[in-house]
Amino acid sequence: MVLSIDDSRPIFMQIAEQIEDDIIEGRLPEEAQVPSKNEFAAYHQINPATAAKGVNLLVDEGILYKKRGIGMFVATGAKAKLISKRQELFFEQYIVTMMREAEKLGITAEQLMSMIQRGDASK
Amino acid sequence: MNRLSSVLKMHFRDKATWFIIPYAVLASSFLVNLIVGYISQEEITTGGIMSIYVYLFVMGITVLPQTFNFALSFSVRRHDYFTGTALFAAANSLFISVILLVLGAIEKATAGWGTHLHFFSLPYLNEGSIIQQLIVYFMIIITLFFSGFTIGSIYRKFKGIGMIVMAIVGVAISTVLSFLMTHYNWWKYIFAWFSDKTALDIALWLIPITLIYALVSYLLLRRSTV
Amino acid sequence: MTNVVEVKQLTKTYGSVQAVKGVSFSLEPDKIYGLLGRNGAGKTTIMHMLTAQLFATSGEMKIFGESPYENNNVLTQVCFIKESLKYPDNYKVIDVLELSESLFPNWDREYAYSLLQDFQLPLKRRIKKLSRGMHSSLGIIVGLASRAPLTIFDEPYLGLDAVARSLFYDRLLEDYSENPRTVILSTHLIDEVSRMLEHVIVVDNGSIILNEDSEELRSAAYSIAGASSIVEPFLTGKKIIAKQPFGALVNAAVMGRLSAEERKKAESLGLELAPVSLQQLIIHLTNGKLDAKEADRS
Repeated sequence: MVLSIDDSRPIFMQIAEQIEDDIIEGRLPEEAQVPSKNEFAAYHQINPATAAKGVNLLVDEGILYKKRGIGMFVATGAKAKLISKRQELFFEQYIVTMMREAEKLGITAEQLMSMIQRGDASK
Repeated sequence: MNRLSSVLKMHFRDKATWFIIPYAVLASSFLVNLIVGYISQEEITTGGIMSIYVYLFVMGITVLPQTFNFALSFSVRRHDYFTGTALFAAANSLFISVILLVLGAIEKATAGWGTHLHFFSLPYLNEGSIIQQLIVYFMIIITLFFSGFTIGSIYRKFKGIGMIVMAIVGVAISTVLSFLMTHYNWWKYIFAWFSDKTALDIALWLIPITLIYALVSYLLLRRSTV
Repeated sequence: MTNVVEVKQLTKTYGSVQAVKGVSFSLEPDKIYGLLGRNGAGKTTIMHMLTAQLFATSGEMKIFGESPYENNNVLTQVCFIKESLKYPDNYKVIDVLELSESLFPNWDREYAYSLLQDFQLPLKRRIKKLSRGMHSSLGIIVGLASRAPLTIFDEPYLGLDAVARSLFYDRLLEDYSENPRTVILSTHLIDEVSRMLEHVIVVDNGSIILNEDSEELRSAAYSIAGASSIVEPFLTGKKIIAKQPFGALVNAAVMGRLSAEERKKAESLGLELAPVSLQQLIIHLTNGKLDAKEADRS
């Protein structure tokens, strides 16, 4: 966990996103144990109930599952599920916004394509 | 967990207030008188013992600002605060009385500390049996404490306004009373009444007075806030 | 489980001044509550009434299902640490700890002493000789180690630096996780504590103006900025809690949530949308009240 919490959005969503990031980037492999709500609470100085809410959100989505008396674990197939969800979000959050900004600046679709290629090359 | 014992503990832990300063006050008064006695080489009867009595009266006033808010803040009931404080004050009064009695006995045995000083054992007050003397000491001390405590309670309940009202009422009543007494010549009856009585008789009369003080302060504290 | 605190129409009047005006709320067990508001809003008065240290002028109040006045069933379960707490003049740190042990049934002596080390408080020091920050630390130690089912901290950290405050938050969350209890934190340092709070009650001018889960509040308002000619029509029919003009631009804080459609529309109009933090929200709400009152007067 490297990201910090900001105060402008619901914290439980930020906790859920951080766990998602950790799964996508492989820091939390499938079938690995997720930190407890109290560990999240202590680490981020947040209310344990809030941390639990974030974790439970992912349980509801089938990303995490609960082993009774032991804790939370990453479900098998969670990574693929998250990636497809994030790709969908990527289009919404970045592409649509980018197109709007490009329009404002008078950047054509072709120019945009070449910019993307340039960005890809300098990566 | 007994709340009453907690209140006793609260006072007990304030060692300076209860167990050091009163005796320091008494000791310094005694020392001065003793030195005067040695230098003058005369028989001296002094009221120096008053110093500890006055201290107890002042303590009755100050114990409330010192501990009432604190106790309430630490989840103590007013009832337990009062009972605990009254019990502690009574035990303390008894303790002081015994010490005074012992010192009085030493004073008599040593012919006034070798210099005819009458400090702890005084004529009139120290006549009668040991138990009678103990009662006299005890009642003087506890009455003074509770009269101070009542003043403190009035302040606690009514704050500054209460003190002003009490002072005005006090002055008014005593003025009217002394006028009536002078006008109807009651003074002589009063002096006659007192001269009739032994120290023990008067000490026993202090019991109802102290109980009234205690009741009044209890009722006031029950309605007091921080 | 029944509510820890149940308050109905609680009012406190001093002469002609109404310090608390018909306040009603309830607190559920084992949550951390924030009682927030400006200084003098009536927070401390409310807490003093909850603990029977002050008497309500009118209203109903149940703590653990009973009236708190002269009631040991209630009082032994409550620990109220306040900024203005005055200890007996001759008391040392150790005296306070020893007394606390006899007064609070759940007192954890070992924990108290470990906190004493954490906060570097000298056990034998007289309280009169403690610095302002040490004085606050002592209150925090008593509040935490009391493990009282209802623990109230009223501005507990006057004089404490950021490191010590952070230590307090760490210890509070740690111990709360292991020993859940109802906690009320009253403070004006909203930014620092907001993420620890599960529920927030905001008091302004003797009344409750907000009583909600803090996670709800985090997305309860948004700010919108842009050319006033575009922003103004967008704002019609919305609950505006603050508005600040800046040249031809305007920045407004709006209560409520934007639908996805509205959001898209705002973005396509070139308006800047941003979330409003809890602290900002409360500042907006409590300032708004004041402005309204001043407007009434003029």
